[in-house]
Amino acid sequence: MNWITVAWPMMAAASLTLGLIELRIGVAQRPRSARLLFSLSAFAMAASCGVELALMRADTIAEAAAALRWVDATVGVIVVSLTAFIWVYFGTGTKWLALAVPILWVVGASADWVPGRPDMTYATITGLRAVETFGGATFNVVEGVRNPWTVFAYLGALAQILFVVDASVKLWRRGGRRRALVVGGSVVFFTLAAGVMANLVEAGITRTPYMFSLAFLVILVAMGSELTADVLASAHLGGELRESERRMDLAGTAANLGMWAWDLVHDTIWATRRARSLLGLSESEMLSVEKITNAVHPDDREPRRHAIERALKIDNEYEVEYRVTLADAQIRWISSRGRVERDASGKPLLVRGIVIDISARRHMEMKMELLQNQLAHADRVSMLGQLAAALAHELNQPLGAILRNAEAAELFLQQEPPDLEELRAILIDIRQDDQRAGNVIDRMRALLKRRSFAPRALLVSDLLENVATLTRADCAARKARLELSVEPGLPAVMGDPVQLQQVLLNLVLNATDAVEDLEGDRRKVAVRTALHGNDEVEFAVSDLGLGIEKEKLGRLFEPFFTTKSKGMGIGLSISRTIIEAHGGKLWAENNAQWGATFRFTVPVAAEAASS
Amino acid sequence: MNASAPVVRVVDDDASFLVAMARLLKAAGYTVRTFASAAELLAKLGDDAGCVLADLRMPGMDGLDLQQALMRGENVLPLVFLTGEGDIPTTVTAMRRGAEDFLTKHGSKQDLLAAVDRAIARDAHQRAKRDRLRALWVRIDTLTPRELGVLRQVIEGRRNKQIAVDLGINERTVKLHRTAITTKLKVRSVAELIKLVQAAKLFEESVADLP
Repeated sequence: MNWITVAWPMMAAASLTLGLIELRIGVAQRPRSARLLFSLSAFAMAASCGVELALMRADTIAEAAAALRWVDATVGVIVVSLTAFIWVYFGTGTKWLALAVPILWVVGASADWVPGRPDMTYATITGLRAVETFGGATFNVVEGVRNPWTVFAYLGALAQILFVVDASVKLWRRGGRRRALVVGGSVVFFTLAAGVMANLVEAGITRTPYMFSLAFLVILVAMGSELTADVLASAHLGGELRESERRMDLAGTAANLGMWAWDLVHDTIWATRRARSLLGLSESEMLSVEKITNAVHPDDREPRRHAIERALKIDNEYEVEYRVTLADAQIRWISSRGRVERDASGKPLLVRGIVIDISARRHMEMKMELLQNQLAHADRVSMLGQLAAALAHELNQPLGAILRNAEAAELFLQQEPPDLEELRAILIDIRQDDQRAGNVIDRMRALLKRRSFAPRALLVSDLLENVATLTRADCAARKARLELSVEPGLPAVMGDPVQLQQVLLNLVLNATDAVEDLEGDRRKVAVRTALHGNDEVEFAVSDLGLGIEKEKLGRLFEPFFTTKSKGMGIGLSISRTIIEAHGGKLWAENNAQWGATFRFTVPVAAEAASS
Repeated sequence: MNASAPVVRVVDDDASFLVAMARLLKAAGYTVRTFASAAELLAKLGDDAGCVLADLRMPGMDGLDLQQALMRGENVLPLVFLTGEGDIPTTVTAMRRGAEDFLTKHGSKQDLLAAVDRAIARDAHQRAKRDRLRALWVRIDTLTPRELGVLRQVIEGRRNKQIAVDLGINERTVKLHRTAITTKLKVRSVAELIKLVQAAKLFEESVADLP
């Protein structure tokens, strides 16, 4: 029994096995090039075992020469692919050294194709000699004259050794010590051992066959241990991942957070149990975009769709709040946030997000809003109280006129013949005065009504006119002049008419208070409006009073802060809340010469802004 | 005395009320003129008899300002105030300064017309008084300074002799002056003379000096 015929195929099988494993991993996993390069060298090694065996069993010089050429080819593939493998696997190394390896090998191997010469190792083969080795195994050894071209193969091997040592040192310094030592060391050992052995065999010093395969076993062991380490590490990672998932789930549950992901490529939706229960969906049902849309309150679907579309097109991120009607007809408020993930070309692949139950917060906000409305209402009632005397006068004018007209009509009717022309004129006047009184009452009633915030597009001139109607008599009584000016071509603003009137009334009444005790020309209040930027209208209420003391300027808008003996101190604080709810700002400043100016901004209505 | 009919002047900043009020007063038979402001009335006051009907509360010059301006002028017309809601301090001030009346804007027609009539009557009365006084003063103005001096002493009840000594003139000359005075002032007795001097408030300052 010749053990050589058993050992070599076994080594080939071992190389093949590891090569196949690496190939399988390389195909399935990214980045794949390192694995594929290594599997290539393993397959080349398996082939090399075959041709080594063929060389040992060669019966003629021609057979031996052919086998030698195959040995050169397979060893070349091994050396070059190992070099490339190290380059990729270590991610470091000196480029020119790496490139020198294939170049030197190709130059050396070109001798294989010179006619009349067997290969790059031997210039001529003089004969074959059977050798008996331990265990009684026999094999053939080539005898011949060495080819000087073989020096390129050795230079190539040297370049590879230098390259691998250099790359290993670099990797070692970067912290990849185990890999540098095991993989780098084994490759160096293989090349060194193979090179030395080949030299000894070719010089005829040792009477053994080529045993590159044996040297390669070291690399197989090293890579096997790498693989084992990888498998163990991934098993560990898997455990950690499960643990991290459990922690995430715990955090999500504790924070009442539902998580979801929408795969845009396959149009599938994944959601945690918590997310499903928040949306009122069962734990097992298949989710779809339509199912989730249907869970949302019909009134909130459009804004939600809009937000998601916007995120997909422009923003990448969105946040919407919507209602979900639960099985027991209860309403739950949900805040949903999502983020779009894209591929390199910017195409959206996935939307990942969370849902939270914000019903408690919403409830609180609604309560606050109600309180705010009540306070604002109280402020309006108190303001109308201040205006009562003046408004009574404002009403008495048309009422008095109606009475006098009616009395005059009675007298005209007693005439013979009655003056019908005059009577007709009287009736027209009576109707007009009635409308006038009605207008004042309507405006008062609007201010006295309890109502919630209802913004719409408003003309600035209408707002100022209403305020003028309510304050004209008060200003007259206090002998203050009220000047209104509207910049021509001002766009409509978006706001609640009653609340904006309330703010203007507050400011105008304050300004009138400020000038009440002054002389002649300074008893003046001016309301000016102008475009502020592109999308806001600024209202400015100015007086020529004494101005605001510096230390009070900062506290003016605090609730219950007042500088007046009869004031409650809620007017300005409510006004600021109102303006902020409109998305504007309210502030005060002293004028350069006399008095102060209160300014506030209100956004322009959307349809006006777009046109 | 002015021969033309009394004119009711209505002042109100509210055009509609002004028209209605004028209509009623015209229908009730008055001659009416309307003014949109106190300043306009003062500018076009004229010297016609009658009265003023003014809103107490007006921008610029209000009712009380108008009252003061009227009192300083030549044609002191009685003023009837119209008000939505008269507050007590304003009412007191207005009445103390001699406002004829205070009416609410939708008070009854009877009250309104009665107040207007009263104001016109008072104007007529004051005007007659003023006319008489003016006539008196026309007569008084014909006296020479010497005659005025003699008149003062006569009113004080001094005898001719005392007056002559006081003024360093002949007693007979005093008598001549007295005759000229009675002729010029068209009085027949000393009693009538005293009444006339009192009505004209002549020598008022010396009367005030009395203990």
